[in-house]
Amino acid sequence: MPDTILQTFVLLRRNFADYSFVPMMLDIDMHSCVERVEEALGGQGFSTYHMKDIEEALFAQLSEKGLLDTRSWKTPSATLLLRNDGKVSILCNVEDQVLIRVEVTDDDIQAAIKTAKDLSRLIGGQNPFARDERIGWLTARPLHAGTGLQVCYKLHLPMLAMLQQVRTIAGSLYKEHRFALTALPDHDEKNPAAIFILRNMFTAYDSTQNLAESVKELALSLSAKEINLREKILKRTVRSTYLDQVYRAYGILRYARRLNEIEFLDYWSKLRLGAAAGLLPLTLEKVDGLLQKAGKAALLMAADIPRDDHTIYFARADVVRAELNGGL
Amino acid sequence: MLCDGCKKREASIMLHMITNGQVATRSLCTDCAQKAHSQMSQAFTTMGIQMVGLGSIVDKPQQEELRLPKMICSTCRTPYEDIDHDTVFGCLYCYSAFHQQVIDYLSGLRGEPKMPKDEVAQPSPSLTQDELSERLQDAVNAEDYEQAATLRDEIKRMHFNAQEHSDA
Repeated sequence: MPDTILQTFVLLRRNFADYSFVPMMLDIDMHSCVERVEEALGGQGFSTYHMKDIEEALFAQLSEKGLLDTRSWKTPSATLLLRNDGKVSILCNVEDQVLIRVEVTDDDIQAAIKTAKDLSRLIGGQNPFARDERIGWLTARPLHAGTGLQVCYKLHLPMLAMLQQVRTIAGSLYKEHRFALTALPDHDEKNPAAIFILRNMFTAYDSTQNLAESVKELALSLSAKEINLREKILKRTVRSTYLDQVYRAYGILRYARRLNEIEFLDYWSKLRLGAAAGLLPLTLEKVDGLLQKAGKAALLMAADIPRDDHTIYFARADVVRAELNGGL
Repeated sequence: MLCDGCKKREASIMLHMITNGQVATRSLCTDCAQKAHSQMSQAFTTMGIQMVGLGSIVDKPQQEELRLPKMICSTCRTPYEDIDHDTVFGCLYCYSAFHQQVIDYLSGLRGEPKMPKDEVAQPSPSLTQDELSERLQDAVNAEDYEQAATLRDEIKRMHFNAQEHSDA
C-alpha cells in the first residue's frame, strides 16, 4: 500500500428497533442500550469506557487512535467498548445507538466487514435492529441508511493540502461518488497534520465488495496524485518553497524548546513528507512513532509532568528533540 | 385596547415618540403601525437616516407563517424541512412517515437503494405488517388520524410488495 495510507477501517451503524434514535432518546434507554451491547459481548474481551467517567489522558489516547472525538466527549451517555487488541470498538449513543468500528489488517477489507457484521448479528440477536424492507438498516441520518456500512481510509495528503487542492477534490468526490474527504474530527479547516478521512456517505450498495473496491480505488487514486505532486515538486525542483518548508520543519523540530499541538502537527506533516520523499535521514516508522510519542495522551500520561498546557508544550519539544537527535 | 389610529382594531404595538424631551405614546394595530412606519421611514430617508426595527416587528407574523416546517413526524414530533445530508431523524417512525421522501432522496443520490443479497432475506423486525396493524389500531383509538393514514399507506405498500414477491 502507498505510504500515504495511514489506516483503513470500516464502520457499521445500527439502531435498536424498540428505541427512538439518539437525539430523542431518554437517558434510561441509552443506559439500557449499553447494557444490551455489553451483555451480547460478554466474554469477547471488551473493556467498557463510560464517557462521564473517562479521564482527560485516556480520552486523549482514545481520541488520537480515532476512536473518540469531542462530540462523544460532550455526550455523557456515550460509551465506548474497546476490544483488548484495540482493533475493534463499539461506540454507543453518539448519533447512532451502535457504531461498530473494525480496523482493517493486511488490506483485507472483506474480513473487517465480516467481523463488523458478525458483531452486529451478535448484538442484534436478542434485540433486533431497526430495518425497512426497501431502505435497509435505519440510521439516525437518512444519508447513512441502507447497509449502514462505511469503508474509511485515513490518508496523509500534505502536498495536496499545501497546494490547496483538497477542497476542490472533496467537492468532486461528493458530486460524482457521494464520498466524503474530510479533516480528522476535532481538526479545524486548517487541518495542520494534513490527515484526511476518505469514506462513502451513501451506504445502500447491493454489494459490499463493490463498495470496498470503489473506496479503495479512490484512495489509491488520491495517493497517486499526492505522490505524483511530491515527485514533481520536491524531487525535480531545486528552488522550491515546499522543499524549504520540509527542511525548515526538520530544523525547527530538532531545536524547538516549546511546541504547541497545532505547530507540532504542521511541522510533523512536513517532516513526514520529507521522510516519504527520501529527503530526510528518517524512516517513516520513526516519524509515525513521533506522532504518538509527542501526542497529548503520551505527555499527559507521563507521571512527572504537571497537566497544564504550558508544561506540555515544553515537554513535547523535549520529546521531539530527543527523538530527532536534535540540540539539547 | 383599541388602536389610536383607526379606533377599530385591537392595538398590538406601543409606539413611543420622543420629541424635544417629550414622550408621546400611541397604541396601534399592526396595519396602522405599518402605515406609520412607512411614513416615518420616508421622512427619515429624506434626512439621510435609515430606519430599522419597527418593520421587523410588524412583518413578524408573516415570517413566522413562512417558517412552519414542511413535515412533522407524528410519533416523535420532530419537524423537518427537506431531507438532505444534514437531516437527523428522531425515531424510526420518521422513516415510515416520510418513507417516499427518503427513497426519493436516496434514489437522487445514487439510484434506488439496494441491499447486499445476504441481507435481503432477513426479516424486518421493526416494521412487520402485524406490528404496523397494531400501531394503526392504536393511532385510530388515540384519534391520531395523521399517523393512522401514514401507517395505513405503509401496510398497503407492504401488502403490495408481498404480493409482487409471491407472483414472481
